[in-house]
Amino acid sequence: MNKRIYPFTAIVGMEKVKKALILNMIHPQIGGVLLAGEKGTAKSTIVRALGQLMKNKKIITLPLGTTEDRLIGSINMKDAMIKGSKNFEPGILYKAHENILYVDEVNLLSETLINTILDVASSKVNRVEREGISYTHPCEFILIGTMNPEEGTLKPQLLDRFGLYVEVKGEKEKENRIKIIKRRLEYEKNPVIFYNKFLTEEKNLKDHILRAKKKLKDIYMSNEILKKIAKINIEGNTAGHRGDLVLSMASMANAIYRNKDQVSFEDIEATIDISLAHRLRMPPKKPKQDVDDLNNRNSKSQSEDHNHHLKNDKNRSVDCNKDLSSGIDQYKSNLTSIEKEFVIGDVFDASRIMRNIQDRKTRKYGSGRRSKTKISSHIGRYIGYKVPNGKIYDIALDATLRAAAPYQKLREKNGMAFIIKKEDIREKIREQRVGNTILFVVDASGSMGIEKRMIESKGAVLSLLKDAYQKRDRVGMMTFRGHETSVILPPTRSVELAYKYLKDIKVGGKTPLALGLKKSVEYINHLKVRDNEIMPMIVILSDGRGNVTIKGKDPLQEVFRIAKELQNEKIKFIVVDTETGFLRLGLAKKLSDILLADYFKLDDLNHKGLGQLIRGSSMV
Amino acid sequence: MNKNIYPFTAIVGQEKMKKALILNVINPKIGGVLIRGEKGTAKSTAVRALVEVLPTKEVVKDCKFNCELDRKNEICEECREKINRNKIDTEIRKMKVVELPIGCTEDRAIGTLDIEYAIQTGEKKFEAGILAQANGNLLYVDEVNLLNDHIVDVLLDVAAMGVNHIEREGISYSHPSHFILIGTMNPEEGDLRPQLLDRFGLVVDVFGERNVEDRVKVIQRRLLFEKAPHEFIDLYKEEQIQLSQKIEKAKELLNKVRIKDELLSLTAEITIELGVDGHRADITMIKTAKTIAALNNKEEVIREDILEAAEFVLPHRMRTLPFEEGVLSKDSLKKWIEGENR
Repeated sequence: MNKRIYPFTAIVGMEKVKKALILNMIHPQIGGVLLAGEKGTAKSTIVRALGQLMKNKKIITLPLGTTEDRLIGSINMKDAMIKGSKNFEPGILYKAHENILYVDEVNLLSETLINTILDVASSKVNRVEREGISYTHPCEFILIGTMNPEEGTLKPQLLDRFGLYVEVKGEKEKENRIKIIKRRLEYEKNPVIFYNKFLTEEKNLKDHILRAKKKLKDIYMSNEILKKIAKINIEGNTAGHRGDLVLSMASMANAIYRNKDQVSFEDIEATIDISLAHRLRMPPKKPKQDVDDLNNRNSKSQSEDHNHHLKNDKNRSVDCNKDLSSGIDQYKSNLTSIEKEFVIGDVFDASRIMRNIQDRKTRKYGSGRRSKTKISSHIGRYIGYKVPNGKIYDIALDATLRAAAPYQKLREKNGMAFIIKKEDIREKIREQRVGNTILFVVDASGSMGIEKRMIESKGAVLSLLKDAYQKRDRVGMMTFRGHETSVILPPTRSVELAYKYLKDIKVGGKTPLALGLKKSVEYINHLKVRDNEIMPMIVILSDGRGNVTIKGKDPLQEVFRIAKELQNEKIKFIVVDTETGFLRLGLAKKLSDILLADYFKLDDLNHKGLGQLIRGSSMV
Repeated sequence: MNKNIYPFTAIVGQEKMKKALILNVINPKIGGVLIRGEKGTAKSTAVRALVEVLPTKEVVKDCKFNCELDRKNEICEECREKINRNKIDTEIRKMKVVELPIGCTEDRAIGTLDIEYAIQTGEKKFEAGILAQANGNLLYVDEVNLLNDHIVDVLLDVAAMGVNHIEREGISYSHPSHFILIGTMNPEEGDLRPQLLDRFGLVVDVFGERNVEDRVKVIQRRLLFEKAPHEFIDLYKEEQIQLSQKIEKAKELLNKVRIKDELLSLTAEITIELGVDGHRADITMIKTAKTIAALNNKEEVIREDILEAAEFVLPHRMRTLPFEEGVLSKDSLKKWIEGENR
């Protein structure tokens, strides 16, 4: 028939990945697998091999640039134009029914698309309500996603929707690596012969899986096991009940796969890490992943990403500025009302907060949201369309054609092939992430004034977030102390999440300022890989007295050297000087000068509040 | 496509959420409910499960807007004409849960020109959208915080007016669109636009069960349902019927429920003291309290009903802020109210 794919059973190692995939085949309700790992770890190979193994399942691949109408389905253009009738044109989700939906690099996919996919995956129904089409079809698929965490991770709440999670690593054993090379070469020489060598193994595994699937109904799960599962999830503080269910189902599938008729602790043990690794939140704090991938980043690939990125940025900066300047005037007129809102010096003063809320309520009628600028901006990913309201800036050609198609039979052609009327015109909706991404980089060392630094920065994060909906800003926080940095709060728009993560922050230790600078910029650039449109801003709260080096001798010289390197980054810096006492060294001021940053003294903030100052800075 | 629906009465715990939904079914004037909570806490399951226990009602036959004759002010043009010509038939229909998917486009939400009809007859006719189906029913938006801004605008407009006006593609049309708005969302994915938040009569926050026995029950029931859906549904048949009957009964009773003036003033005191602005909160609290009384098969609202209503109505109208736990939380609210022993 067609070309042979590398057989599943010929893959060396990767036992966890294989297991996760097999368990999903046995018990599809588990809800798919997310494979996380570096490039070249055979993630795609193994998924394709699975498709070949299972024969009855097709692998439906979702390309990265897919638009919403292609994913969900849309109007059939041909029928619309020729017959004037509205028929459903199936999309990728239609094809995915009863098959495997494979999303490579799921972390780079637009959020709208991910949400749609995960929504359909959990409701098992695709409801299409668009372009005059109202159509519903069953849509049950096994979702397999891959991601390379170096390119940014998925948000925790999206991670959670994947049943299982496996970290894919390159094989470390020398013997195995040799085996991999040998087999690969052999396969490439003649795929058919190679495949035939594994024919029996492939068939046996497939039969085993199919048999297991049939026995799923008869598996017994004792109360004791269920209790254990519930306890594990309570201790791990997993969200909702999905963790319990996935672990139960995975254990069941594992037991059958081992030819058992009841689930034992062994099955829990065998599946606990792939079921819960991405769900554990024991003490609710920073998601482990972001920090890990930041720490583990390979500096080479990072600078590559980065260069690639700058190139993109240059192309974009032109129209970006244009759009901004048109919006700025409008901003300035809003500025006064916004300023009123940010009277937050002391976050613990409840009465002040109450007053603030009232300000907020009255404000929502008067001043415009930033969304006004959104209309004129051509930046952002095209994710959908709408009927334009007023002047048209950004025509969605495809949607316009679809809207006009059914009318073609009715309209006077006058020798033209296709008539578009004003009412057909559709405008693009773009994923609007033109807000600022504000990363607070806070000195959490045990130096003087630590408490004030923490209170101010938490207060500022929250006050900025309170308005995040309107401003479309994301706010995050990173701290540095001892010999490390940690992302306390990945940039978010959710007050809820900020509250959870900012509650307990560890403080104390030395001051690795140079490291903090370097890592914060790395982190921002890393976010930019995924999301080109963010307008990044780094707010550094420090007295400038770095006393730990990354490598080398003089920590201060290192700070200034790194700052010098960073001044050309396309990032807006703000330095908030936290130096107190009589003897002042003015190091933070110097740092600020090198970074070409806006500079504030924490002492001066008593009346204004940090959030307000930052908001002020972001306008200019 | 007839999918098996998990029975409403088989949902473990989550009593507040279930109650908020039922209260809205009994009294659509409460103004809908927003359910907030983490992933996997049976939010969507509960809303979708509600279908099975919804009451029936008498509507105009073949009317695509489900017009009810006893709601004189909310009747569509066609039905009005039929009434004038005295040619009106009715039929019994079950209330529905109409879903508004987040990928929905504007034309499907509000309706558009029926193009096939136009081509065949050369006449313009309105093709009803989701907001038409939703009239007199429940309108459910899953992940409501992710809904596109322009759809939210439409939704807010229609929800406020109870009428859907369509002016487009050479069509000028309006029809009644009164619906019970039900939204679910995970707050970790971002907040809801304040105007939309205010539109919801009630808000319930849901959490996963924290107790081992209950969690085990959740797993067991779910696994059983996946394994043998029909048998599972049968197990809960009796309870489902009982609940439907209870709802029907409460609906009948609702108009008879009275409230004493002193409880009205208690309501006002609570909202004034808590600095809740606007009168929507007061009115919603009274309506909710009356509905609670009806659900309890009582013809008079008692103090407890008001307190219970406050828990549903107030939290999102006096937005608690982080870092001041205990100041404005629901518990403190209750303590505060209960401390007021007059």
